[in-house]
Parts: sequence; structure tokens; C-alpha cells
Amino acid sequence: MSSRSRLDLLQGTLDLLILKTLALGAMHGWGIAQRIQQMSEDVLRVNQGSLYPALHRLEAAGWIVAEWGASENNRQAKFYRLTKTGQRQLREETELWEQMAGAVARVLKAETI
Amino acid sequence: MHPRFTHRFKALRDGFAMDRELDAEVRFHIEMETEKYVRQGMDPAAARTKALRNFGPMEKHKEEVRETRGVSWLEHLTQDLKYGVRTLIKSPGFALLAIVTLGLGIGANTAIFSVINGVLLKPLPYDNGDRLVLIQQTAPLINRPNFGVSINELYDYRAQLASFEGIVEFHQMNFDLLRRGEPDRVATGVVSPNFFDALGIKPILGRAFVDTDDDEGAPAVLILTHAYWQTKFGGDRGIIGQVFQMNDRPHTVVGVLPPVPQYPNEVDLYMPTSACPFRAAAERQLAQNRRPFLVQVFGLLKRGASPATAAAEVATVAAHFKRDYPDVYRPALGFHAQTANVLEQLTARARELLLILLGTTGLVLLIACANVANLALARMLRRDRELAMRSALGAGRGRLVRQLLTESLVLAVAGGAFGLLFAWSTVDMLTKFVERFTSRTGEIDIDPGVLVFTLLVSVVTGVLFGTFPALASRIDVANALKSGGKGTSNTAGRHRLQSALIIAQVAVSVVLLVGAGLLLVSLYRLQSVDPGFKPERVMSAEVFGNFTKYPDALATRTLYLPSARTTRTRFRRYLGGGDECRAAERASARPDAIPDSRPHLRHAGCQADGRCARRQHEVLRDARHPASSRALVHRARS
Repeated sequence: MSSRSRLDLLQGTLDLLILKTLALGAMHGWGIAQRIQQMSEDVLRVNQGSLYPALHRLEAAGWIVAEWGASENNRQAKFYRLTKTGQRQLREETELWEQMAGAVARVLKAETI
Repeated sequence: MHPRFTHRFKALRDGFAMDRELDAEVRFHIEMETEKYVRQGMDPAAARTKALRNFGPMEKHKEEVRETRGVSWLEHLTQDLKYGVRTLIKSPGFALLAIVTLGLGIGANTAIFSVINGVLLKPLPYDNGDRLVLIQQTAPLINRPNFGVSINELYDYRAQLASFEGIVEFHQMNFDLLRRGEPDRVATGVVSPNFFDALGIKPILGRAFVDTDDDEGAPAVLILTHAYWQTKFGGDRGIIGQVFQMNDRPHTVVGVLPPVPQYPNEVDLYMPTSACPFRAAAERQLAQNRRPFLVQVFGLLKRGASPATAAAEVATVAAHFKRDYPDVYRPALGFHAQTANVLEQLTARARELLLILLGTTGLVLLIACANVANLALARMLRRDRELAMRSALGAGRGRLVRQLLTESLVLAVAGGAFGLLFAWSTVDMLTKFVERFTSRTGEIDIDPGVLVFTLLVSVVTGVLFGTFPALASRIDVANALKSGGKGTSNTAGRHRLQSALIIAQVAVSVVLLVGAGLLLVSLYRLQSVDPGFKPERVMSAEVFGNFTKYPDALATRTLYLPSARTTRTRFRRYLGGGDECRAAERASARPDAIPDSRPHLRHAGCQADGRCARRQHEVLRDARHPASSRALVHRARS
């Protein structure tokens, strides 16, 4: 996992990505990790172990809720779903992220230092 | 309800269910990951290994999840408690030693604190306790810090003090109460009729004294204390109106007090001032004598009156005494008056002693702490491997420190429980000792306040001695595991800690030893003081007499004791004209010489302070018992 091409995620970023992933539909923990990896075309790799503390943190904050259900291969899995406040949180954090990313990009693109 | 709150509540309610859920969730994750690799053509075992590796340190992540719940400290605590108790049971020697050491330290502190609580901290158990002040007269130049207040002075104070709602008097006498001819020696509080009103005590049976009870020649009445009523009359509710002979007069019981501690003295019953023959006799001499009879006086401040103003008023009145009666209040006395808080006054002699004792036991507890900390440090050496294992399994340093502190707290609280037992069994002894210094020992008890104190001391103790091993828990995991259980880690730092502890212990011990040594020296000096006589063959006897018949006869009788070589009898009574003493002497050596040598009674010189002149090494120092005659008998050689 030391490869520079597969970035380990910063803490706050992981929360944002989880929320975004769940905005597309309810999913269990493993699925979330896979989906993030797929959507980032294998660039972002979720540290699987830290996924669960993050999920529980988001659940405690009331942004997502969990339910047990049958997985695609018919096993019991815990599915996470975005709540109303979670959707709002996602919008806010996305905005914040874009502002920050844009600002960082502008700084990096500046011609002279 | 707020989601965060419901979440926490749920977590608290079913933490274990959530643990199981987390396990299932993680298991599902690993299975999915394994299947992914199997689909990619991996061998199932290798796939599982890879899946587990991808997940990272599982327990650590689970721990992180638990921490998001916000209640995990409670689970940690129960876990740590269970674990702590288990480890302590596994090393019973250490546990026992630590518990006993701490228990003695905590117990001593608890016992002393229960006394301090009962004597110094609790308010007076009366409705008006906080407004009571003592009026004190002193004559420091003749070494009389307590000069007493005479009836005349009392009346003047009553007439002139504006800040007071009521001013009451008290003195104690010992009389014989005759119950169907059976004499019973009763400690009697002689009080002004407003005494109980001022204190705020209401009788549970009958009535309090009223002003007419105090009129000259009024029928004598009595109020019984609760304890006396219970022990001597079995709590008989028909006691009101019963008549007893006392001082050759009928006395009628008019009331019974509730079970409250009594101040200034514990007595059996109370009578108004007119019923006390000596007080009444003195009353008739007021015009001739300014200070015929001394009593204790205290006053109830008016609501809102400041104690400072009251003190100033008292001082002013006393200054007028000196101006108006220069013969009585001679400048040589240094006479003046002051007020004192009743509670402080009652406990003044005990306060310093108790605080010194508390300081001493505090130091003892510190030593106990250092001792146990050292023991625990030594024990840590053997636990390196265990701790290393735990930190290898994902326990953070904070978690380890918490674990060790919890263990220490378990020890300390167990020590506290033992200490409580120790305190409980010794507090009576301590109370007896403190009784010499204050009359206010009736409320000493191991009550909830004391229990809280003990718990607090235990916890502080636990933290105090638990911090040292916890500090020393910094562990080089790899080394500790490699060394196979022989502790190697961080020994230098630990040695420094141990040395520091020992140094502190020695320092505190030296302080204690010096203090104890000084006390012993004082005690030794006290015991080797030359009393001025040879006490070996001297006997002292105390005979109670009926006050209405002056016991000259007794004096004569004691002189004829056949086994006595010489006798000296002394009487004290509180009668007008200051205290009167009589000494009867028979200096003759042999009993057969008695018949013709009529013992001569003579008045011994009395000093103004009421003490008989000391002649020929009288030992009757504590003959201040107002109602006693003491005979000092020099036994004949057998």
C-alpha cells in the first residue's frame, strides 16, 4: 500500500466519499470500499479497517442509518443509507471541498512564486 | 430525540449486542474480500490471508468503532475492574499487603476526620446555635483566663446589652434526688427560665421553664433530659407531675427534653435558679457582695445583630464595671470581658490537637502510599511481558495507563473499606481521648459525610500511588517480548522513580519521628515532674454530702479512720462570700492517740479564685467538683 499511485485517504475526505457513495444507494461496508475504489478508477484506496470507525461515526452523527439486509450473494449484511441530514451534510461538505480544491489548484497553477 | 443521543443511549443499553453486530459486520467484510480474491483465481487460504492483511489490525479498528459510541469508557471501566480484581486475586500477597497498608493509613485518617467532623465541623444541634455567643470575663494579670460571671454582672449585662435577644445562665450542681427513699446522684443544670428558649429546644413532654418558676419561693420544678428519663424511668409518659425530694424540698417534674446533645455540660436534669439552694442564698447577698456566685453566661444575638457590635457592647459594660466598682475590679486583675462563639469555645482546646493529629495521619497515609507505590513498581517488573503483549495486541498507552490506574483504584477502595472497619473499631477510643479536651463529643459518628471523605481519600490515594507504576509503564514492546519475560525495559527510569519514592518516604518518616520524639519527651518530662509529695501511700476519697447539712460530721469521722496515719479533709461548697474551704487536720501519728485529741476544725485561707490555699502539698487539684468533699488519707504503715 506504499504505492504513491494509490492514495491513502485523509480522514475528513473518507467521510465525504462515504456520504457520496451512499447518495447513490444503500450499501454495506465492503461494497462502499469497492465502489470508492472503482469510481476513482483504482486511484483512491480505502483503508478497510478505518472504514468501520468512520461508518459508526457518521451513524452516531445521524447522517447515515444502518439496517441488516440480504446482500447480493444472499448473506446477512449491514446496509448503510443516507438520511435527510446526511444529504444536507453531503451538499455542504461537497461545496466546502470544491472551494478548497479550487483554492489549492489556483495556488498551484500560479505562474510565479 | 437527538440522533446522537439515541445512538448513545442504544449503545449504553446494549453494548454487547453492538459488539456482536460489529463482529458480524467485519466477518462479512472479510468474507466478501476473500471471495473477491478467490474469484480472481487465488487459493482460498491465501485469499483469506490477503483479505485480513488488507483490513489491517482488526482489534484496533474494532476498538476505534467502540470509541465512537462514546460510552466505551464505561465498558472499559467494567472490563478494567474485572481484570484488575482478577490480577489482584492472582497475587494475593501483594494485594493483602497493599490493602492492609493503605487500610491503616486511610482508617487513621477516617477516624480522625470523623472526630473533626463531629466536633469542629457540625453546627450546634440547636435552632439558634449560630446566634449563641458566650460572654466571658477574664483577669489575665492574675492568670485567670476564665474569671466567671457573677449574678450581679449577669443582671447588669441583661439590662444593658441591646444586641441580645436573651441572656441565659448555667451552672452545674450535683444533688441527691430521692426516689422512694433511694438516693440518686444527679448532675443538675441550674439555668435561668429562658435557657431552653434561647437554645431553641422544645420539651417533648410537658413544658419548658417559665418566668414564674424563678420567683423567690416558687415551687421547685425539674425538667428531665431524655437520657435520664429513658434510663431511670423507662420513658414513662406519666412522669410529668411526679414529685421527688431534693435538697429537703419537693421538686415536681414539669417537662422532658428531646434527645439532643447538651451544652455547655451533659447533665441529668435541669432546675430553675430559684431551686438551687446555693444560687438562692447568693441571691440574698447581692447587695453586700458584687461577686458572690459565678455562673456561665451566654446570650442569643438578635437576628441581624453583628457579633462585632455585640462584643463591643459587652466590652463597654465591663469597662463600666471597672469604673463603678474599682474595689472589686482592681487594675491588678487586668479585668475585661469579651464574647466568644459558643461552638469555637467548646472546641477551642481540641481544635489544635485534632488538626495536628490529622496532619500526622495525613503523613502516615503518604508513607503508606509511597510504600505501596514501591511495591507496585517492583511488581511491574514482572508484568512487562503482559503489558508488552497487551500493547502489541493494540492497546494504546493511554489504555494501559488507565488499566493500571484502575487496578490501583481497586486496591485503594478495598483499602478504604478495610480502613473504614479500622476506623469504626477505633473511633470510640479516640472519642474517649478527645473528651478530655472538649465536651462536644456526642456527635462523633461515622456518618455519610465521613463516608464521602473516606471514598475521596481512597480515590486520591489510589491515583497517588497508582500514577507511579502507570508512569513506568512505557514499554519497549519488541524487547520485552524478546527477552521472554525477564523485564529489561526502561529499568533506569524505574530505578530513578523508586529512589525518588524512597527518598520521599524517608523524608516524611523523619518529620514524623521528630514529631513523635518531641511528644515523647514532653510526656516524659510531664511524668517526672515532682508533685511535691510522696504519692505512694496517699489515698484520696470522695464523699458526697447533703448540702443542706453541712458535713462537719464527716470531717470528724474521717479523722478517726483507724488505718490512717494522718488525714486531711477539705470541703468546698459554693456559698456566699466566695468559696469556703475547711480543712481538718490530725497530724497525730497513732490511732490510739485519737480519743483525747479532739480534731480541730479550722477555716483554711481561701484565695479569691476559689481555690484553697495549698498547704503542705495538697493533692486536691481536681477537687473542683462543686458538690464534693474530698478526704485525703495518709495510710498508716502496715
